[in-house]
Amino acid sequence: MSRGRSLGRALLAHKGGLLGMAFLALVVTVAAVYPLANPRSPWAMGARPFLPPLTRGHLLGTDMLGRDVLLGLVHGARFSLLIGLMSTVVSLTIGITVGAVAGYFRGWTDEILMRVTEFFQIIPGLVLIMLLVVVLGPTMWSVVAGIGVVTWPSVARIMRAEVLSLRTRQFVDAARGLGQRPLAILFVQILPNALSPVIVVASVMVASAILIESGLSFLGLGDPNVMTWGYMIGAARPFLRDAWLLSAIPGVAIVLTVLAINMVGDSLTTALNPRQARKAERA
Amino acid sequence: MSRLSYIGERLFRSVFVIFLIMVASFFLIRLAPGDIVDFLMEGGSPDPEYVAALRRSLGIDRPLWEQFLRYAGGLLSLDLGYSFRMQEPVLDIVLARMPATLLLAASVLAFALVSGVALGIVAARSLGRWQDSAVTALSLLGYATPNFWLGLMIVLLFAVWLDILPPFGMTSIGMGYTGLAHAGDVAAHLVLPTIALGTHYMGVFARITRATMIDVADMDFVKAARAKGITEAQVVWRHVFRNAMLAVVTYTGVQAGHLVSGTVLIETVFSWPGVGRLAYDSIASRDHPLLLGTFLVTSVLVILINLATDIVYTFVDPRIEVKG
Repeated sequence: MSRGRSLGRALLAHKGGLLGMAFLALVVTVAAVYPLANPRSPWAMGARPFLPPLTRGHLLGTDMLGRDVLLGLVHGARFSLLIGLMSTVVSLTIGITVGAVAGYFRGWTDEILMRVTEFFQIIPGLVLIMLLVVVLGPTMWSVVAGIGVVTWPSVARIMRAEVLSLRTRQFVDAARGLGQRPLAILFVQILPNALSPVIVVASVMVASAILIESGLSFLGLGDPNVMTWGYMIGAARPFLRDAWLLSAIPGVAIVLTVLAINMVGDSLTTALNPRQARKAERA
Repeated sequence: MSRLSYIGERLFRSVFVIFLIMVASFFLIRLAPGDIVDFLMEGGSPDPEYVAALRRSLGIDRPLWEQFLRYAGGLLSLDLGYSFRMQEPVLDIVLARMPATLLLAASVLAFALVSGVALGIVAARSLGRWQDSAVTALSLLGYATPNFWLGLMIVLLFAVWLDILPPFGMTSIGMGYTGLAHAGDVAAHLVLPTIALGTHYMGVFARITRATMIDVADMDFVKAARAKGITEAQVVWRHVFRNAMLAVVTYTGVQAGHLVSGTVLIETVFSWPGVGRLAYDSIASRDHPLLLGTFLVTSVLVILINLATDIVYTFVDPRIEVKG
């Protein structure tokens, strides 16, 4: 309880983090509520194309096919955040498991798992995702799986380091003395104590997942049934000269969202790892 | 650990990771529904006997481990397959595109290094003042901006509105420049893609340099050097710069794959005739062997860069021997 309260206080003390959280809350609320008020499909081509912003009924205007830009932006927010969160879950699941097993069992298991981790860390991630999406078909699930598969190594490394230092602590010895099985010790005793640095990485990971997804959709490799910010930028690209706002607006949405998530991540670092934060502050 | 055995261990690791890449690429092809023969026969109604003969001749009817051995043997003898769309061996196509990508990557790193280190030094020397905050804000923006979007926006600004730089390509078509004029032409075409891809790394290098400056300034050997009366410029050059370079070399090695990923997007935005653009085009033309080939070649390239940075490290950082 007291730990939760001091964590809350530390989070509130971080101005950038508060600002980031407020912005994200706004994005989430709009993404959740606006489609209820305006239930049309973001793909609906009702209006005249290339209407400028502030036109009646189309606050941000319409695109080259007469689709409402604001509606696209809102649906883009839904899927950008959703894909960001889901791929982070995939990434955490793989990373925590690999890192924990490598750190706890050490020896050959560790050696092999760390080489595999190195492999995924080294290769050009976007090219591997492109391969996966091409092979598995362009669905939201293959995009999520692809991003998860290339982003887990940093989680695994941090997890491994935490587990390596925790496995020699007394409470772990005690659990071993009581006859608990290794996997039980790992997942019940060690894991909950190793999570705070992982949470910090996870927040930043949502941001980088959103950036990767936007790149894929920009190239036209995303799920063709899902309206995303990257798709909006890519689709408007041939009209850059005459209708540059159509490319600019979704890009600003990406920058602000990613910036907000990173600022929340910074505040989490301060709150959860004060020592590392003080170092980062100077950094 | 001696330098030689350190390098030996790194070499062994690299070979192992290359082996993993071969395994991964082998299974990636087999994840796809249907095999290469189905793909080639797509849309037609081929004679079943001909299809069976084709499968036999390609060896797809053999057991999996035998196929893998053949595949790996092919890769080791530099046979990355054949692009049926472009009627050329995959390796030749990829290698022909490599210089353009290496030029872009070198330009990006040079830009990021010079501007990032300069900004980092400025920030560290004005801690807590507006210059420092401005550099931090710029880095944060650099992290958060998608490079392809930044590319489009600077094309809009510098090529469309101001009309002072070429918007895409590597050379001006039909001008027939040679010698210095050609070099200048390519340099002009390099500016926008370099900024688009380099801004992120500029932010990273600025933060690394700033942190190193602050760390080093506290250390006893720097205090001693100052007490001895050497100038501020000498402190920065001899101690700070060298330490910052260490961090930057490490980072570049680790992030080389990230840089290659970035070239896919940036080369597509700027129609830059490199490997990244090739990867994108191979998807558009459904040329799977070529896409896999770009993955293989770029991965191996990144591993070699990592190996190189590890080896450079042993020369730049004397501590590595004790650290082992």
